Amino acid sequence: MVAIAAQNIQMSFMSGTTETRVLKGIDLAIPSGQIRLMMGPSGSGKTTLLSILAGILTPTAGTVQLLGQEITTLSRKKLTVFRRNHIGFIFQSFNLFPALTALENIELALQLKGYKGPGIKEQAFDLLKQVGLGDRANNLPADLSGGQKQRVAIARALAGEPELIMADEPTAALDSATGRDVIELMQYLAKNKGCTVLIITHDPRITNAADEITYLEDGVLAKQSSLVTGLH
Amino acid sequence: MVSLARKNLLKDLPRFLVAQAGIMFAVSLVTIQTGILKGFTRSTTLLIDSSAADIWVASENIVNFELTEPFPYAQVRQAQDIEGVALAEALTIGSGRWYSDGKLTTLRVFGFDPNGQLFRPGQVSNSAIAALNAPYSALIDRTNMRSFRIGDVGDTARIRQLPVTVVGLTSDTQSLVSSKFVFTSLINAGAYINSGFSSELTCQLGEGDITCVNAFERDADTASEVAAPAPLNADAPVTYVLVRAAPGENLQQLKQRLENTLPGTKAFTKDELIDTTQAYWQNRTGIGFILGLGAIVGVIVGMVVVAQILYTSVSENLREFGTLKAMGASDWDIYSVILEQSLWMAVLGYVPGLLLCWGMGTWTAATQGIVVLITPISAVGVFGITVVMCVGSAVFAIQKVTRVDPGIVFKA
Repeated sequence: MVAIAAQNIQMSFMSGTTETRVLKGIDLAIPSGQIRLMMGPSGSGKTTLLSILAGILTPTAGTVQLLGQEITTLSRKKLTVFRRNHIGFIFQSFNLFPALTALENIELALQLKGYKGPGIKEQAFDLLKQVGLGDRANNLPADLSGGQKQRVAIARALAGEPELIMADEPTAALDSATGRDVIELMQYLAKNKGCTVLIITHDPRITNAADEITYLEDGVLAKQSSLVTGLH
Repeated sequence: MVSLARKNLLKDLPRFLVAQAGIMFAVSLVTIQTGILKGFTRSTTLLIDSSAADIWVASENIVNFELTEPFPYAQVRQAQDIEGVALAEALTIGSGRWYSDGKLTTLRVFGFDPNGQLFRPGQVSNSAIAALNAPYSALIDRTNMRSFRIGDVGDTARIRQLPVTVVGLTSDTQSLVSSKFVFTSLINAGAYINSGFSSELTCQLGEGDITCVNAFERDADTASEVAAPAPLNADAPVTYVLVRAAPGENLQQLKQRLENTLPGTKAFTKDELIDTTQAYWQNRTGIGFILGLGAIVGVIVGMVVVAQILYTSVSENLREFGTLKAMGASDWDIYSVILEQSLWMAVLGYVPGLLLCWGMGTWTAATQGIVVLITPISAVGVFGITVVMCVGSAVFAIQKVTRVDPGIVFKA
């Protein structure tokens, strides 16, 4: 089954009277349970494509289906609900809430997804333990290292067991060893939970974590390669 | 449950405290301005409020409680004979000058029957009121002791050329817009008001109306010997007839009968006279407007402070709000965070602000005689204003977050 499918995605931005075409007809299909890397130079349109695939941006043309649901025609409200129920996000800058502890960051994500009651804290703690930060539950993000922050972000993305994980440069702010740890963790959890993972990255060190790599250049898919010697 | 709003507020404690100080200031400004307005307004009618009279009969030319014209004492006796009147007593109001330690203070003399039932000058003991039967005795409000240079009961001074002995102290009487009040018997009041003058009241009856002319002539400045005050005669000027209605009497009908029987007069129920007097001070003077303007300035200052704080908070947390949006938070989820922040600011600014005003009000009432009146209704009202102020300010911040590009979350 295809988890993420895109047909003829085009995206243009107007800057004054000048139109800039960022994506020029992207076709993409990512099977369920796959970890897909999307690589390419800066300005190639990777982040724009991720935003469109995640339902955050609406493409100028083309269609996107997530889990069999056409999302490009959904209303803003329905898109919001779809993201809440089916997608977990991991960001380059972690985007944790600095006023909340590690545990509370995950609790908040669970709250958003409609989880209530006293069990919510326990669930959040379980997720933290899964990323190896059970002993850091009450630490604020400012008291965590970069790698630990990204682990919390991964735990938050996994809250509510979404079918899709979308990650934007998850290792860019981490050193080599920590980046590798984080990717291994993502890979392990994704496989365990049956998530489909799309990772935007520049980082060549993590290519062997992927099932497949898509290269984007100047708004078009340059090539696609399957890897058979991943870490899994 | 995790409260992002509360946590965001407390994240930077010094800034939060500065913000709360701003809101506290705004709350205090509104509370004090409205409290002074209410206290000042109420102070103009304290004596009416504390009286046991159902109806007050005044000159038809009355403007407010203290600004009216006298009529002859004989009308008090006439009133007593009107059907439906259980009791009628006189109250006279006049001006004078208080001399003590060589210093001069202007005053307002209230003369009433110390043995009567309808006028009571504030919170004062019965024995102090009974002591007013003595010649040249008076009660003063505690808050006026310093102005009158009176240290204690028993101290003496002069009103115009006549001696006065303070026989008791009262409280909750002084109007903020009047000269200092002195309470005494009708007989003493007549002497004090007319001291330095001799008067002659001439009345003529013509076509159902009585027209009276009170002619005053200035006496010599120094009186070598002080005689006891003369008893009131029928021509003596008084300011009000206080009336207690017979049980079950219709007050509007009784008012009509009083006005018909006592020509040139206008009768008020207690509430009507209070309303007339308070409306005069609020509307016909600029005081209500000025104090109201101060309260509005307080609200504006508060709104600016809260708006600035919330706007800064939202701007600083824009990426977080974008993250929430990306994670699937609805617009309402995000607005509710900002609104909750504003409500916390309202509550945490209001409580200390009100306590501060209450403390200041207690202090000013005790030391200056200026009442900053904070009633439960006005406290609830100010809380409502504070909430509206804070939530209204949140609208600016909400506009900012509404326009946030969710793509912001992917920027490093």
